[in-house]
Amino acid sequence: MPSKDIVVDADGHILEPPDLWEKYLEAKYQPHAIKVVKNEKGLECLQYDGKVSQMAQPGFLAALGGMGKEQDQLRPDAERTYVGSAPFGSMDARERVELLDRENLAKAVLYPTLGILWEAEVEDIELSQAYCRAYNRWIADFCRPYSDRLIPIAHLSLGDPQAAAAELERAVKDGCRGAFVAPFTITHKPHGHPDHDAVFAMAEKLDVPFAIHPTFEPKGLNRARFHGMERMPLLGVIASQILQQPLSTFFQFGVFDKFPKLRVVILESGSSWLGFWMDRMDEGYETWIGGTLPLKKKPSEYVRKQVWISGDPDEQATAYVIDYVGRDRFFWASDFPHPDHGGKYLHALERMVAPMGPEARRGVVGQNVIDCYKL
Amino acid sequence: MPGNQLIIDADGHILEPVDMWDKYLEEKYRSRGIKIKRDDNGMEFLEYDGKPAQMIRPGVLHTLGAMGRKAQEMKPSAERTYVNSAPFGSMDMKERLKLLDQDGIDKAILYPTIGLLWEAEVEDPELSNAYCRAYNRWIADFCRDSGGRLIPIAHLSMLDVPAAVAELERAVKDGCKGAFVAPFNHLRKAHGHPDFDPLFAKFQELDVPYGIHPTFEPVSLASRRFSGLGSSIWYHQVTACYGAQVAFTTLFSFGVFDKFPKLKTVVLESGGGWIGYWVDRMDALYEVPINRAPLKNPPSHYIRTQSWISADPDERALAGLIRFVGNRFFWASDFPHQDHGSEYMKELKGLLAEMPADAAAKLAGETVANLYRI
Repeated sequence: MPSKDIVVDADGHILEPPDLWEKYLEAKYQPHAIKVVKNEKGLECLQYDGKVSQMAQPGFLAALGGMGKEQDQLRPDAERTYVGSAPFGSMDARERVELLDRENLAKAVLYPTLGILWEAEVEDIELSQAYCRAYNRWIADFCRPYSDRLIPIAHLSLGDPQAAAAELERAVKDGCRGAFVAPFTITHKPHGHPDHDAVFAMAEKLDVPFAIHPTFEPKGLNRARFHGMERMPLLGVIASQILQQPLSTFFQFGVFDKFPKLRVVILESGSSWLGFWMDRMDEGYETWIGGTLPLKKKPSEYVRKQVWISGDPDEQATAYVIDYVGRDRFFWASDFPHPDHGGKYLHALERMVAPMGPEARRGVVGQNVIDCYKL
Repeated sequence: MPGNQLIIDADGHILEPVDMWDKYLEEKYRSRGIKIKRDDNGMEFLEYDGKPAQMIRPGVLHTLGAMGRKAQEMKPSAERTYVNSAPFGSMDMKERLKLLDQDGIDKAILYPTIGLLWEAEVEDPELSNAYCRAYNRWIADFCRDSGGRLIPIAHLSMLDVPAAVAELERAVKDGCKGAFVAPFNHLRKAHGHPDFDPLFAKFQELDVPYGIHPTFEPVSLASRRFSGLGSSIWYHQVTACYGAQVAFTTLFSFGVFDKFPKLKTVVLESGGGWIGYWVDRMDALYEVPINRAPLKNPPSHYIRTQSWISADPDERALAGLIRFVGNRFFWASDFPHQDHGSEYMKELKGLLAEMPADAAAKLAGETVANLYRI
């Protein structure tokens, strides 16, 4: 990477301390905290509100920081624990800054790990808000000593939009530089639904981006087509679909006209499909169907002004669509320390940006995220 | 567009004649045919196996050929009918040839219209196969005297594999140049499932492409992510590509391409610009040591050797992507369907102008001609 380019990881993760919710939840919710417990076989399990998680399999927690490890190191094993397997830089702020230094990264925008698991299984709207608040207080504290390097992002749950808007305001005052939500909502209301306007209005007022990040999801949201889809290899590729759905509802409900300064960020679901999606959204808009949309302009025009997308560094196709979509639209992200992406992300990033011109490259490696988040 | 360039529409549609199933179904199924009837308000409705279709409401069959029309022309109507609203070239072979001439198109590969609707509501495997056979006999006859310019493609149901295998063989002997399946089946069995291996083996043996084309789908398959989007037509239109994407992906999940190294697969009417992401992400997932796909090579290898994608001509992102993915793309008009615009030739010219001459020639027609040997 040319050293003059500022390199920013747009979506890195931390592994939350197992006692985060016990410490940071308000007192009345503490008995309902997220906990790491052991089952009768000695395997770690996650517990939400006193119930063992059905989606996070026993022993799975030790794999959460397993980026770059081989399969035999990721299998459930009582000897391996969440904390014991956490790699350097995944749980400690000073270590993370040291890791950034080693990798010549200027900054990392940080997202949770346990925080992207629980929402699929917690249906209590009030408790969901409390879990978010606890995480948000903690991540702000975690990043505070290194606030120019580690960028805290708040987690919001759209189940109670007024509470989410209030929490966004509180969290941003406390240091968070933006917020993310899951690609599903507990109410099944589409993201762009007017009931969520309070959150968009607050993000616009505070001048911070509103992001959508993949999470564990309630069963059957996307994988109903075939029996056994949950376990089929390579089906993770439909991450693009999972994020296109909430993104598309912003157009279906005219959110960008109502909030012309809102900035929306799409995370961890690939990026080279954005040109395809612009084409596809425009195509529908330009037939008679477009008359059913409350939009002043065609969808791609909003994308080029109000949407950013974070790509995987091992995406080679992005270089071939970036001039069409817009050089200022793309980020890259490490996904460190999660095992579903490879560990050689800097090497991959160099390959990703190699075919790009200097302006596009400078934007992708860091400048775009700096501009979007006003860092 | 240079005058001598080969131009082939990789996915055009015909509107089947109203009495097609009455005429082409085997006698024992004739009473259970697909019919167009009128309700008490004079509105046309579709009937499958003696029951009114639930997924297409009365009075809107006239919209099936409504490419380029305005919203106010899409309302239910007793005056507008399936046949009297069918545009020039959508129901008659000679007219279609004239339309191709007007558009400067050499050949068109043809897919059905009503044939894309019934499968979602007909669960009887025997009747499904009979419906497919009837269409396949008819489309072969429809195209037979077109001088090789209209290319018939067979429709196969996945509900009875031996029957589908036999029908593919029969249809190809009768003139069909390939076959397509829906992106779903009522068994909810993935397209790549080994139970379908005899079908892939037959495609390979006959050396004809296996296509996946979007259709109406059972409501139970719809994403349950959001509620309240029932009337959001645009949302459903943009997300209609998901079924074919998933069905296609399961071919990789089950290692179909290694088992059938000469199988040729085509994804239709689902856009083309997603495949660059698919190449990158499937290859990345292939490297992750959890739940590995049973493939000898990275997934991108099979995309670049055994897969083709039919794109929309207004996909501006395609010009760049071809340089990355390779010449795996066709273009298609979708004529006369109303979910695409009618300016497809203008759009195609714009798209071809953005790429080098050899890539443009391939996209315009050479790739699809070579694949289907037409």
